[in-house]
Amino acid sequence: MRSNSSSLLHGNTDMLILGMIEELGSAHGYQLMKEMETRSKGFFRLKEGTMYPLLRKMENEGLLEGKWEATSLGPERRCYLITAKGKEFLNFRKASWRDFTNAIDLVCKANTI
Amino acid sequence: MQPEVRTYLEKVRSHLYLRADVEKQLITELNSHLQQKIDDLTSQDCPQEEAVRQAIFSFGEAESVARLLYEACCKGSWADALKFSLPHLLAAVIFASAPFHKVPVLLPVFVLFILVSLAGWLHGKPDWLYCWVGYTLLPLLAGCFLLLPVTGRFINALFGSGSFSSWGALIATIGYYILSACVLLNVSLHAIKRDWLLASLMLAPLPIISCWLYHMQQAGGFFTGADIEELNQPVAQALIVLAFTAAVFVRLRQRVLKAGVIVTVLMISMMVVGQSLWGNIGFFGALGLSLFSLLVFIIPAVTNAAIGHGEPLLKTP
Repeated sequence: MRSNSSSLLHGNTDMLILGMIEELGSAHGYQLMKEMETRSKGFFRLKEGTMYPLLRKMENEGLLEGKWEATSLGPERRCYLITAKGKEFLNFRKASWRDFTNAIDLVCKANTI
Repeated sequence: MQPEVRTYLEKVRSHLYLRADVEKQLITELNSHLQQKIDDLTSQDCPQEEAVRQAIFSFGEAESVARLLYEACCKGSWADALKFSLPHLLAAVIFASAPFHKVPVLLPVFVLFILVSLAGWLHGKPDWLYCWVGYTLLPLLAGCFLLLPVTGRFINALFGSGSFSSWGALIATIGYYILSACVLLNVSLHAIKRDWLLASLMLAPLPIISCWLYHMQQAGGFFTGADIEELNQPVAQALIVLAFTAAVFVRLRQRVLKAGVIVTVLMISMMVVGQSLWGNIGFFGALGLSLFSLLVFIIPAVTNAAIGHGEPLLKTP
């Protein structure tokens, strides 16, 4: 992750993860990590060990549902699906984020005039 | 599985302090991630050894991953908080109503503690079980205090002028002490293997009630009457505080906060109970009681450092 992106990402990782899972339908931790890095063109690069605590926390809060998936090679994988509560939470977070960025834009534009 | 990955995952597991089945799931999930990463790196012409090293490095420090996973998984519901608090509240009611000279009242309560503990033990050993188990140990402790006069008479005869003839009673007493120590040790070790903080919480009522038992013994025995009933109130109050502590313990995520809550509450409770039982205990009396209460925190912590947490999940081939 780039130096100043850490603080920007802080508190919003759950929104990014939920958004990706909603779009992918179901995803496992490694896949989410790669997707986040690819989609952000390397801007968001999480320490990999932090992904699983986030996934478990969201699962315990009922935002995600975890299911074990057998693989032809290697150990079983745990895939996550978004729940109805998770979708509701995601919509709320997206709306809050839009309000926040709009407010930032308004303030910055006002300063440049 | 590569030896480096096994060592890393074992290090994570040893710092998790969660239920064995949850730990197993988490380790399987982390292993799956690491194996995929290693496969990806080796498919990009990275040597196997370097791929393993990079995969582990990019995952982060084992202790820090374990701490985050613990904090994500440890928080119990309000129902769990109630299950943790209930034995303390029940014991507080017993002390507040002081039926200690009425064995028919005490017996069903003790049977209830035993039954709940057994049910928990047979159904997956949930975390709240340990709070109940702590109280099932109390009759053993009470027996030890009841037998104090026998050992007292023997010590007097040994170092003083009196004679001692109750050798049968002494042998039975020593046997009882050994048996009690074995039961206490076994139960404590089991709890420490699960999580030493849970073991501390399990043992927390023991120093408080030990002070009361000692005072009762000094005042003339357990089943003698109502003269010392008012002294049960501070113990009841301390147990209510312990009930709230147990609820807070369940709802907190950080281990350092959980430990802090147990230590603070226990030290203050012991000083308050000591002050109520023996009057003005002074600075050194308060300090002594605080240090005595800290034993239920320090002993599990030290034992955990020696024996570790849980059973290794990943057997070497």
